[in-house]
Amino acid sequence: MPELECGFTDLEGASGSRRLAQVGPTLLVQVNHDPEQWFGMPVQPALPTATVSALIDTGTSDSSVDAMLAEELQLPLIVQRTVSGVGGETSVNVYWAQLRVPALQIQFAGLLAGVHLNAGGQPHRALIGRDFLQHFTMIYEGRSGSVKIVSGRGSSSWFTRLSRLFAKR
Amino acid sequence: MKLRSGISDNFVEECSIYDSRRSDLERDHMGEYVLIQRDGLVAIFPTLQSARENAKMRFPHGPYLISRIVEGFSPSDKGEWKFTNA
Repeated sequence: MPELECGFTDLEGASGSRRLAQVGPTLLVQVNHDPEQWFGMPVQPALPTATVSALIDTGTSDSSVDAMLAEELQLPLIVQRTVSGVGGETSVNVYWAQLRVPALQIQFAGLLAGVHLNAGGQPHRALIGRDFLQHFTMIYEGRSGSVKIVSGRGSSSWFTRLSRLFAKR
Repeated sequence: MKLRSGISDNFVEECSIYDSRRSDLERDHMGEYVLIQRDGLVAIFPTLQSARENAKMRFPHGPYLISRIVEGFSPSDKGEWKFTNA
């Protein structure tokens, strides 16, 4: 049963709890574009893979990628759309790419919106949303700084059973 | 459709327009870029740049959708997470 620690430990006087509160649950992901998963339309030359830190963001439904990283990797820009609000027009670039979490043996292939993380001074270069979390159990221990992502894949784990118990309450 | 910031857009309608014309687009304009506005399909362009420029000129305040025309693709296809063996 794959399990991944996404929290923080005490380091140089900073408690794991504090570091987790400041940075948020973080895991390493690989971002790339696999030509074989591009509707049969090869992209030449093959694009590089970047290993970057990603924030597990329970506040967003869909995963996304840093806009600057998308440009660096030359991810195929397949959709551009605008939304209008009181602040005026906002343009959103949407890329076709793959996000892979090797430690959990799971991969996303599809559309990823380009969001301005690096340009805004954020350390993460991707956001992992609830679309990812629906496959896992996340245990957030704010007092210790530990965050565990657990896959109940292939077994009915006690985490899964516990989750169901809470869901019924 | 509501975004996290609270602003609304017309993405669902624009995707619906794309899907309704999808077979024609894939047959006649593969690899090109389509500009869609909530009232319908506006035009087809050979490059993303030309589509962007035209869209900004016609709809300076948006909203609009530009999508590359790819076989088997719809802008409403989000993609999915799948477990791998490696």
